[in-house]
Amino acid sequence: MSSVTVDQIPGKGEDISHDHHDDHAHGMPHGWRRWLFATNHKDIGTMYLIFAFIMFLEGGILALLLRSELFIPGIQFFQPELFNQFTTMHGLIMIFGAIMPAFVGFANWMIPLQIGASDMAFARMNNFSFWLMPVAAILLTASFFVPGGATAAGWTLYAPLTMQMGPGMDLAIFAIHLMGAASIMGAINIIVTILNMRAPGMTLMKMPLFCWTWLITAYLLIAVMPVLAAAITMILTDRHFGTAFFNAAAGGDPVLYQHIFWFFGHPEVYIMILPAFGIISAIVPAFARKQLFGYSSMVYATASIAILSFIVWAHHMFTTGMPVTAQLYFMYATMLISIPTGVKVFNWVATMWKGSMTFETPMLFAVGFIFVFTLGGFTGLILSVAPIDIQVHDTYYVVAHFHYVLVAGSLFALFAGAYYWIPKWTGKMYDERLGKWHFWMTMISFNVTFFPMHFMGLAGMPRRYADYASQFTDFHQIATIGAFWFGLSQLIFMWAVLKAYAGKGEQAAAKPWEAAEGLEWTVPSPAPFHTFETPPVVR
Amino acid sequence: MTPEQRRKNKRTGLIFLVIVAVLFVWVVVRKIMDTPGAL
Repeated sequence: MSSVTVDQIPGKGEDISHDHHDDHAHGMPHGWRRWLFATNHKDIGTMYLIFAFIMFLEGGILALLLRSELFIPGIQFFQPELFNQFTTMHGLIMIFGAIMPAFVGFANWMIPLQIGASDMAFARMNNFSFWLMPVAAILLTASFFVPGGATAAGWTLYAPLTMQMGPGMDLAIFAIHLMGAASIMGAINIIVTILNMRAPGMTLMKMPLFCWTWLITAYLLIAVMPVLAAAITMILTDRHFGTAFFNAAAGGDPVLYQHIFWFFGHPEVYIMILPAFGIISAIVPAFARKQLFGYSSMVYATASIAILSFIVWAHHMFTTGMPVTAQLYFMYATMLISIPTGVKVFNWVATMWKGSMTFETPMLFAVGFIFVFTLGGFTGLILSVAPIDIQVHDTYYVVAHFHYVLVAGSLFALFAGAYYWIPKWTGKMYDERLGKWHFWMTMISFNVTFFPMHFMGLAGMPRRYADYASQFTDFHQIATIGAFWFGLSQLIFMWAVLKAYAGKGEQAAAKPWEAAEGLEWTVPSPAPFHTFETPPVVR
Repeated sequence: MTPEQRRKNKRTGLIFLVIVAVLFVWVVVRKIMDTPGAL
């Protein structure tokens, strides 16, 4: 990363962040009003993170219900209809309720601190977009209790399944509309904050990579969220207003839906991983005690991945019967993405090369991310090969692939970022012993859960099935044991975070990590309610 | 935040809001045109 040094800070010697004294001077709200009417980026960030963790637990419980059913062949606890509802809701909750809001929480907390801004550009819109999320979550969860239950169409909401669902489908559509609107508002807020509110001297190419990756992610959100909104609006009008966009029985085209969905769906994958790249790019240099190798190439690689993500969508649809020329195009275009991704992995490894590395919990998760996410990247490359994809389409191989990318990728980066910035958020160091236990339990149990799924997929185990042939029993049992182990391991994380928030632990210095860089480390820990009201000057 | 900064932010935000609205309408209109008998 380009070196960012705070050359001159107005009022230096007192406190650049106006410290706690001003918390009172500015009438920091107290009680429930502080949270309900929150306009402070740190409070909203905290609410997003808490909300995302609750949704992570809800989605996780659904996953454990699925794994319980799959422990032995035959139907044990849930009929296939309910099993499919769990599958669908697990996906929707984890993507729209857990991973995306968690990254928005990080963005709210860290972007203003990293660019030297006093808050987000639209503080009240920030509050509104957060409070849409719990409403959407309640709608999604409540859909289990309406006649016919929740939608069981899969997170992709393919037609004609969406035509066949009960009112739970309408609740899901409304919930996704709300979450989409929240994401769009969040994206506009982030873009305007970064473009208009950077501290003097903080040029774009001096910004921390987390801000860069979020800026590019926000552009992706602006481009694809309206497409998803349009697609689900058309599902709604097909269901209730007599249109026939996707309803084949009425002359519509279900494959058309798949095209529109994946035009959203593939960039969505990068929406969930680019901010993770930003977090890893902050942590690796801090614990390797070296500057990030190839800062500008990291920026260009992020932008390249984002651009390529728009032209590869139909690799999710190789089995729909597209012409060979189209298959070849989408295959080669998809393979191209491995180049900028490879640049990133190379740069992280080169940053570590000959560094004075230490392995505190954030670095453990970062290194774990690089190792395991890269495995997920490789299986993605294998899946991009059309003839192979046609063989393993809709099998557990695909399930293994995207969990390696989304759990070992996005989730590991979120854990890494949480441990890295918890001292700044709480003013206390987390318990390092708990952090290490959390990492190793998570890392091992993750692989126990998902590695056998590659073998099952290659052997032909289809995804989204409540029952299976007995030859898959051993692998399913290993995966189920791993899943429960993984779920229990997350209680260690909860414990470590609650301990820090409860004020138990060593007092954190303003910069608890020796070689960390960035403006966020120039304010005290915990970060005061108001920061950078007078912008710092960055040289 | 100065009033000038606020105005600048609103201007930039509005541009992106318009992009979102145009994209949404464009996708729906295109699909109406592409799917005979959709309405």
